[in-house]
Amino acid sequence: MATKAQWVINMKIHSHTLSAVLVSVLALTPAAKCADRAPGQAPAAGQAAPQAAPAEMKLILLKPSIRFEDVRSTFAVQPSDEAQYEDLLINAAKRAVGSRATVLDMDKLEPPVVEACRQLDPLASRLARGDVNEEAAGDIARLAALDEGYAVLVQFFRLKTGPGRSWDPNTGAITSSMASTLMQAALVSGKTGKVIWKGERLVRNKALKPTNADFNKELVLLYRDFDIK
Amino acid sequence: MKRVFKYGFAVLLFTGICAVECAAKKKPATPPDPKFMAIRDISVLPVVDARAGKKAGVNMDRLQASIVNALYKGKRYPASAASTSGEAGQIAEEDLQSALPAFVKKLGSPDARWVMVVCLEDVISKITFGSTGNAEVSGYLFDKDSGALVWSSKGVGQAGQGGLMGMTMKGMMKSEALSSAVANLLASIPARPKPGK
Repeated sequence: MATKAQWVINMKIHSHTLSAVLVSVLALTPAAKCADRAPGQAPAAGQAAPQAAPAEMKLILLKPSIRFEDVRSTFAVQPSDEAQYEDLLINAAKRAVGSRATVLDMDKLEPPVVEACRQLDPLASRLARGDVNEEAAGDIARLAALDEGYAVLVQFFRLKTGPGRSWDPNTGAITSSMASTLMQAALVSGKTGKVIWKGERLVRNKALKPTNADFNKELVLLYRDFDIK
Repeated sequence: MKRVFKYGFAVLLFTGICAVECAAKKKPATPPDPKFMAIRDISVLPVVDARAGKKAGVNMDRLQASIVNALYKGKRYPASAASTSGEAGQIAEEDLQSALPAFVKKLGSPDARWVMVVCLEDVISKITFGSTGNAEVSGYLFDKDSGALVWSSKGVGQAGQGGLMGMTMKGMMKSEALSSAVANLLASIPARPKPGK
């Protein structure tokens, strides 16, 4: 009789311990999930996690890298409205940075800084998607040697044109347009050479014109979660 | 009898004229490009995923195998699939567009001479009133001995079918667009002559 009562007591203690463990695990799970995610955008697989920005950041806005292509050809296309796209990209970046950091004017930079930035220009398409290769890391390190507070904001814009949508009434075959618009931007720290923030927008089936309302909408979405902290 | 001979001669003359005209219309066979004829074995490296945005699931090994198959069966080039990119490591499309000889020499296995790299630039399928698929690939063929780019091209593929039946076919649109893009990509590589010709 006594052993049975003791067995019941033991079972109660065990079940209480088990419930306590379960409650604490359930309570901790959402907190752990939140801790996993960096504020803003989650880092892409294979990419370095965003780093904290230096306290006094001097942001250099590089000239956007703009490419116009025909999907069927390896040759670049020369459009007439390139300057218009460039202005819109620069303005969107300036708006996104706002008062968060000092945006340095390329014209007012010292010649060694301008030279270091010029080295980064051919690597812009790579940097804008957060791919800092050895060559870029070296150039950024040279920039940081002049001032550790420097950070570069790189933008890449690619407009592809190609066969449009079609419908064949005889066979019922349809196709979608092959045009696309890609916008990529990344903020790279000079001190660490790591990506602080990156953003990307890909609009399929449309080659957006600078006058198109969707173009500005996509630019806003590109910088929607821009943060330097 | 005379009449039979007359008609027979006329028919023969007519046939002869037609045959001569047809032979004149026939294109003279263009001599094969020695640059391509020198190729012994093309090593096709793993496909580079150069896509931006949301990436749809693609079997890259199958895509690589289809390129090898198209080169071997369609163009009669001895080709094989390489398991790694070699010393070059992770390849970006920018590396290929302006490849320096030093970089080219790092591609593929050390004993491979002709190396082909194919980049998957985009592949997507979507439902509209029906379903469509678009694919875009680019390819580069290098000669490691000279470190030069032998060939580069782009290939696009579009597939689609309207109506309710088309909607049910969405699953196959990606692969259909991809195989069409690969065929268009390799179209600019001259086919080798049949053995014995």
